[in-house]
Amino acid sequence: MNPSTAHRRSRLLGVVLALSLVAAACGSDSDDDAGTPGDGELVGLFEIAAGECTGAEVAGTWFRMVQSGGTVADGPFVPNSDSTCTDDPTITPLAPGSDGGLLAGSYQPLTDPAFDEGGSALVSSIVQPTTWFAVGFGVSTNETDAQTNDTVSPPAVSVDDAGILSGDLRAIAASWNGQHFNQGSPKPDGSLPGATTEPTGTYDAGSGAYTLEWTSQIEGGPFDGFVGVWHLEGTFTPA
Amino acid sequence: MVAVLVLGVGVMLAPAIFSMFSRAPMGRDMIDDFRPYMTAEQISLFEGFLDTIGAADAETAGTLDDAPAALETLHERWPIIDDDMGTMLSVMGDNIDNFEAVDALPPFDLFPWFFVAPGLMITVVAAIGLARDDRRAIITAGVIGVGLIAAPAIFQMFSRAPLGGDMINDFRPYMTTEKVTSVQGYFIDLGAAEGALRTGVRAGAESTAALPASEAFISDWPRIANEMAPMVGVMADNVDNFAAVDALPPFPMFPWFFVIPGVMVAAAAGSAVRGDRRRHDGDGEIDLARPRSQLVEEPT
Repeated sequence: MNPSTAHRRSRLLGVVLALSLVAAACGSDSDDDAGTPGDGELVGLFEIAAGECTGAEVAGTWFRMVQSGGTVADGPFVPNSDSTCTDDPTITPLAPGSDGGLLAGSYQPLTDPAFDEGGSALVSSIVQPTTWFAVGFGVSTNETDAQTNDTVSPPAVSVDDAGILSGDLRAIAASWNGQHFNQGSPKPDGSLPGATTEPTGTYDAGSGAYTLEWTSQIEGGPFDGFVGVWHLEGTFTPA
Repeated sequence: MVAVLVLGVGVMLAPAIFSMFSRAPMGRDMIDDFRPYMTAEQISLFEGFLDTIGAADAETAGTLDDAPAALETLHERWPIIDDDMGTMLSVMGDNIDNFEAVDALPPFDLFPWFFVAPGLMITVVAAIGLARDDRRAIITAGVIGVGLIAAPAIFQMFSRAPLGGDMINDFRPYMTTEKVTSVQGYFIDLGAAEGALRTGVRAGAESTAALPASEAFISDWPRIANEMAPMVGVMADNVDNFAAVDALPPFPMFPWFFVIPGVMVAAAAGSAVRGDRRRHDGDGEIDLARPRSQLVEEPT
């Protein structure tokens, strides 16, 4: 082997190594996006306590929607005449579905078909189908987001030493009236557009009691710019 | 031939100058999205929904004791909603023919290539002509120029493009974020009113026989929502697409973007050929394959 050939091979080896490092780094980013389990991750069932209104007070799990141009703090919120919260019909209580709540670490996908003839969602694993504007909406988590068609990771929730929850809920979707709306945070592409806020909450390791909240701005479709406000609470059961 | 070369490059670069590569596909998406709604049947269906809601509003306005707030809101806002939505549907109806004319044009995303392809051909032919001093290249460039002149007629652009311009002008007031937000608000008002009728008025009434229009509204609401929500979604999803199309040069000018460079190329080529004719070879015949440099100037 002459020196120039050896030099070329050495440079080639260097390029291959550099490319391998870049590829490894990209793979690492991708894993981060996918919400790889790590320290403090809670894998299991976030069982949800049914929402209930007593006067103006609301307990348990609920959902509300901010109208386009409004704020999470001050609204205006969308009034749901089908809400059982008569004092504040902008709050829609949610009841646990057939799985009892939200699974972290796995999907709870849409049914096939996703809707009945009237446009009401049929999925009932996370929460029971809930009437909103006369049509039932359902909640699901799907590997392929039904609105954006992006591949997304299953819900991932972690707790820190102080009992504060964080997570990646990009797979969550609401389905209503023949349409799908990503209601995750972050959004399927990892962004936090508009009033979308990262999941946060509390977790008591002793009792398993938790609260989990996030907001998700709808991107596109008839409710473009509207913001879903989600409040889950109940008990976490590890898988 | 240099002039032909420059014109070819200009035609080839026109889509980049006008950002057609990014804007034209957005126009295609908009046309695809609106196609289901730009029919007389669909617009008539929506107008029927407005009639249904209007009848329910008229039936309940001022006739109910302790009317729910959502109904009061509808009573206040219905004249605005009815006028705005009715006008929008009327504009859509008036533009069905215009939409069909635009939809009958070649796909939007092909438009940039209608410039790039002939522009590239003219450029290559002109370059060959310059390099080889070949009169056949001049004639070929001229033929391409004539093709450019003929293209708008072939695709009926002179009649269809202005119709597209009319449609863009008519839709402009509706394809804004502000207007979409207003229509979203109408949807919320209507849904809230229907809910108030269904869960409040009807649930509390001993008989609903006296409120047939309200019953019809309640009965039709799932379908109204099912049809109306996707259309609002199409409006919301196409605000950016519309803006991109609106930023293109005015539609009525599009045929002339073909004709004018076509005429210039054809004229330049014709001028070059005439120049060669004056320099034809000794037997008076034009040898198309023969380089111009080998031609003998005709004695004067």
